[in-house]
Order: sequence, then C-alpha cells, then structure tokens
Amino acid sequence: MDCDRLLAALPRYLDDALDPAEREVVRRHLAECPSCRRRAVALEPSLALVAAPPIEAEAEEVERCVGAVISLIRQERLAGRLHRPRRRLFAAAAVLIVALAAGAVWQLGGGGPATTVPMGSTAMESPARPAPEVEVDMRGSGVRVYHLAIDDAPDTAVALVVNPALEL
Amino acid sequence: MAMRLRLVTAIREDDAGRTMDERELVRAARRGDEEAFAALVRRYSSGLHRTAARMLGDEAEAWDVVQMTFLKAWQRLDRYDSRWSVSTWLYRIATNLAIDLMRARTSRERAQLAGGEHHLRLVGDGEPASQAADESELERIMGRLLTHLTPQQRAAFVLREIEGLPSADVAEAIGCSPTTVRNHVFQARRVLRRELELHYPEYLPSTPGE
Repeated sequence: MDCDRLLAALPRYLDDALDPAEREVVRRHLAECPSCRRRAVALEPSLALVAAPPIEAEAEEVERCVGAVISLIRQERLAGRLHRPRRRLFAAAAVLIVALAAGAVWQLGGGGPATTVPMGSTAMESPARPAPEVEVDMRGSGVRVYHLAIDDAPDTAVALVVNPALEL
Repeated sequence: MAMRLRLVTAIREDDAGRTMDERELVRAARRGDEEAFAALVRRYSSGLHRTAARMLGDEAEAWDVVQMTFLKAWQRLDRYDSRWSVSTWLYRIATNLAIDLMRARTSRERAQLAGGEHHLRLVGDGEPASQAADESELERIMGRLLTHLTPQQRAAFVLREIEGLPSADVAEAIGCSPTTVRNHVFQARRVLRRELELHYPEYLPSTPGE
C-alpha cells in the first residue's frame, strides 16, 4: 500500500469499515512509515498508540513467571489431594452420627478378622435411656477414632474416624 | 548472601513447545503434563503481560494477572472450547482479571496512575531514532490518559487498537458483541481526545486551514 492510498483508507479505518486484511495492511503501514504515522496522528491523536512497536518481556521475567505458575499449580494439586480424602472422612463421620442416633451397629467394610472399638461412653449412659452400643471395624487400617461426648446432650454422640496421615 | 529458588523439574521448550501446536499442548496439560503447560506459559506470557500492563498501567500488577490467568486456565482446562484459539481463551481470562482489578481500584489509585508516577513501558523502542520527540511524548501522554477510560473501554481499546486483535476475538475476550466492542473503541477515542483537549491542548493536532 502506498502512502496516498493509506491516507485515503484512514477514515474507513477509524469507522471500523475495513475488512480484516485491509485493516492489517493499514496497521502495518502505520507502524513502518513515520511520515504517514505523523499525518495519521494529526488526524486522530489516539492513533499514536496504534500499531505501536511491541514490547517483549525479558527471558528472565518469562522464566520467573513459568516457575511461579508451576508452583501455584503444584500447591493447587496438593490442596486437592488433601481435601478430597478429608471430605470423605467427614461424610463417614456424618454417617456414623446417624447410625448412633438410630442405635444401630455400623461396620466399616466386612469379612476377615476384625478389631472392634466399643463406642459407649459415660455421657451417653443416661438412666432413662440406655446408650446405644456402637462398634467400628478398625481392621488393619491404622485410623484413629475420636469420640466426642457432650454432657448437656446425653442423647448425642459424635465419633470421628481420622487417618493419622491427614492430621495436621 | 543472595539465594535463588530454582525449579528443579527441567522444562525445555524443545521438549514440548516447538513440536506441539497449542491445542496439543492443552490436551497434554489436561492429562496432567506440567511441561506442556509450562510451554504454553512460555509462549503466551509475554503478550499477555504486555496487554495487561497496558490495561492496568502497572507492570508488576500485570505479572500477577498473568500468573493468575495461567492458574485459572489450569483449573479450567476441561472447559476450554477448541473453537477458539488458546490465545483468545487466555486473553479472555486475563482481560476479566484485569477488568476486575480496574474496578476494584479507588479513585486515588486511578489518579496516581494517570499522573504517570508508575513504571510502565507502553510502547517498545522500535521507532526510528529520527522520529520526532513530540510523537513519543504524545504516546506516553495517551498512555496516561487511558486511565480515564472505563475498564470495558480500556480493554476494548487495548485489545483492538494497540494489540490489533480481530473484532470477534476482542468480543470473545471481553464477553460482549462485536458491535459493543466497536462502540467501546469509538467512546474510548472520544474520551482520549476530550482529555487531551483538557490537559494537553498543545498536543492537539491543528485543524485544517490553520
């Protein structure tokens, strides 16, 4: 594109009436021709920013960014790994609470030799209503069971089954 | 004594970046391939940073936006729509983050940026040395005046006029129609001219006949 044609095309550029290919030709010409650029800016000052030479980040800055992004991703993955099993454990605890309220016996897993942990507590042993007996199968899992008794609410008991590897 | 933390995993552009196209890199990253994702970061971080810096008027803040853009992209890899180029997808995430940041700014922060106290390279050094000093000064002033635009106008102007993205890509990045992009650009030009008249009338082009 010669300079005269560029100046003739400028009003259509400003009206956004050029097709993409023509538009690109105008932008490239403005970037490469100081004389046309000056005349274009005299017509529309904001064209001082159009097709400005690109700034490239330093290689060091880019590498720093890559390192930071990969660190963020690894933190994210670690957090995901920590949260998923915990959610399952909280769900298991919730099931246990329901089981306690119903006075049922709930077994985690089945079959094989089982080590059982009695879950009765003094807080649950109300004279009016005997505490339900609960047994949890701990078969070789290495998990810890925490039992929370609430004095003011003897009918309620909470048991937490926790994998020690996830305890913080 | 200065200490540096270095990423232990070796990630080389040759391994993934040059032999795979961007959609292949996304597919590999979806399978958990960090090297493929690092190649995407290496390929697009410079352009995204330049764009975010021009929108925000702050280079350091722009790097934060770039990092958050890639973290969000990693989290949403399964939602990438392959009808669009990866760069358009990344521009969309970065533009939304930059717009949120601009909206969160107080008026005082905006005034500081408009005052030009910040460090920002708005344009590169590729202009011929013979270029008139007035012209590069006008570029700097226009850069400061960009802070007077609304976040949407600014995003549209930077993506369409400075970066030269196609209208449809800008519309996708901002989340509006191409007609709205056009209106944002027209409004942006109007505001820039008005601010130039108010604060820097000496840089206004002479009217025909003068």
